[in-house]
Amino acid sequence: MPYIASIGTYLPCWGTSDSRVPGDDEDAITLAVEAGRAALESGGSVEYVVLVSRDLPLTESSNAAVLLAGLGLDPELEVIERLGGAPATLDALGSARPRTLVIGVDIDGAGAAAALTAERGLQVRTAARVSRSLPVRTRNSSGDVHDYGDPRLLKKRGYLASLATAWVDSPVVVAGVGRKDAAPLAVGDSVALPTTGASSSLFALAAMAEASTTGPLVGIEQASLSGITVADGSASVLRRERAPQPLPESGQLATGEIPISLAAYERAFEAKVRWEAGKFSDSDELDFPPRYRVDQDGTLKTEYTFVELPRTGTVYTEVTVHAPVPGLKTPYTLVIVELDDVGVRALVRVTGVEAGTVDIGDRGRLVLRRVAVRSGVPDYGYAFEPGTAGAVGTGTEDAA
Amino acid sequence: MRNVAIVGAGMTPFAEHFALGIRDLLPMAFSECAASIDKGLDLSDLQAAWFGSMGTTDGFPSGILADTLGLRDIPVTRVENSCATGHDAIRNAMFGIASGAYDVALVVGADKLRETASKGMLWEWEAMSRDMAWDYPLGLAQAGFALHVRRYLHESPATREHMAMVAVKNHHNAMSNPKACRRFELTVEEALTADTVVTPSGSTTAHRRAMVLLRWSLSPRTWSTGSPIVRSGYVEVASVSIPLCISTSAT
Repeated sequence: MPYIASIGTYLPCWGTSDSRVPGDDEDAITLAVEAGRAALESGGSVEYVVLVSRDLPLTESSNAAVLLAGLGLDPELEVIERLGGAPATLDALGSARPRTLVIGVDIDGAGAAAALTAERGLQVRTAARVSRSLPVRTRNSSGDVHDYGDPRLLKKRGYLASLATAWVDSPVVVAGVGRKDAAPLAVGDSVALPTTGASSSLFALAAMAEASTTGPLVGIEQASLSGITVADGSASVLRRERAPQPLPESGQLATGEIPISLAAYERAFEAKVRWEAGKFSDSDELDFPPRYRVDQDGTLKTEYTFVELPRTGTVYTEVTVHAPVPGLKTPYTLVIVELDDVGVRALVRVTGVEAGTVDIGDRGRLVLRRVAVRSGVPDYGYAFEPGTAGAVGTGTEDAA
Repeated sequence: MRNVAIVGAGMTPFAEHFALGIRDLLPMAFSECAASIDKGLDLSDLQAAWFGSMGTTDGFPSGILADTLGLRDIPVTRVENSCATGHDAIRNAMFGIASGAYDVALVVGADKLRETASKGMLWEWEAMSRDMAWDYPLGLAQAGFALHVRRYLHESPATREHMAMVAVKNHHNAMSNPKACRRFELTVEEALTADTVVTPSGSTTAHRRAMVLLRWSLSPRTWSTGSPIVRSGYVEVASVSIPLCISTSAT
């Protein structure tokens, strides 16, 4: 029986309170990293990672390396990329060993939530499982979507029938269906969840942890469901959920894309996705990007170690590009950020605010984003998110 | 070190030159340079050549210069130093002559951007001038200099109006140069209200949104080719304008 030590959530700052949309520089992996980092903020250790989503950016090649690097985890960890919705995330949680980070991510109605299991904390146990087929909406391997278009059939012969079959007669919270449909199914106070897919059941768990609610939590996807019983114990919850704002208008040229050099991609990957500089043992200076150097007498130095860079900094200079740039949406703002206390300045794009609204001296944090898609390859790196707020949480310290 | 003088110069107009290849433009510029020399020139007078070139239009630049001018038996050296490429080529030729290694040297600068479609030109140019993993995907494009200007405006008493005055001066100079590419007068007001390419947003004195734009004059146009000749003699200081300008996007 797993225990949950901490929960982290993330919502993109774009869209409406009913439905968030990812920014141009966000995908399921950057969302997962934001939620995962929030869950890990309280310092738990991780041995396994399970990523549940139906919106994985890559189905050939793997998302695991970027996910681990973005989370700052060891590349030797096992990562399971699991296709599924709200029930799949609860299944993953129910069977998780301690020190497993389970992350659910959604793009259509965007959001991500992560839960870290441990030896103690908020106790959960599997209560029900039903797999039934009622494929009212399908997406095949090439991404083609078919919608049957009968919500009443889905409701009556789908999840209502499954709930009856599973003998889950009084769930406290129901995840995976729209708010209007979920409310009458739950016996507890209605919890407005921001997503309906893989992340929704962890958003529900976060709400229960915050309110110290116990009882059955059910995750639904079409006619399948999974239920867990949330028992005693406490878990810290950290939410990165800024208030939603409309996605700013932008323009993009119809033609043109940014080519990639995968040789350069591979060389830069560790430093670029883990946000690390190079440091030689005989020097206090950090090299960013990391690279070979020479001594004053010309001796070659190759033995640098990777050092984590600070994820906060101050804008040193900024510009906003308005002219159309093939392959990118304009306008966008670029800044050179002076990172805190390390004497390193980095050139990055600005995220999470409308273009042209940052100024020299503004503070902010560095966050993993999809910088570009180049020749079909999502190219990840860091972006500057102005502001220091953005996280609300009930820490373990408060709960204890 | 010996003194060095520029004894002749010639250039093609600054233009897109769709109809002319780099192998046409190089002889055109050289011919005008040769014609400008008081006592004329014989190709066999040339003992070395330096060729400032950012890109490699139609092949390795040194070979192209040697081939187009028939300079098969002298050393031809390509120089690249970003926007200072032309200056650096002159400097190298000057050292060659001042040291006594050569008496007469040719310096040429040429690039041709419009050999590729405008839609692909930006990334092609960026690929040549950016780190492929770190800077390239950010779309630095025209913003490279603007980042500097934005900080300069922050640290110095200079204002957007001062930046606009540089553009006004540049355009004024173009009026008396039949080979300049943007030959029209510009007022400070026009420069400040022109279409925005890249914003250095907000001046240091007032938080208005800046409308001035900064762009490389490189952008959609061909660099011209210029070919001064360097010969030993007395010192002459020549100022060559580097094509970094503040201008409107109007043509």
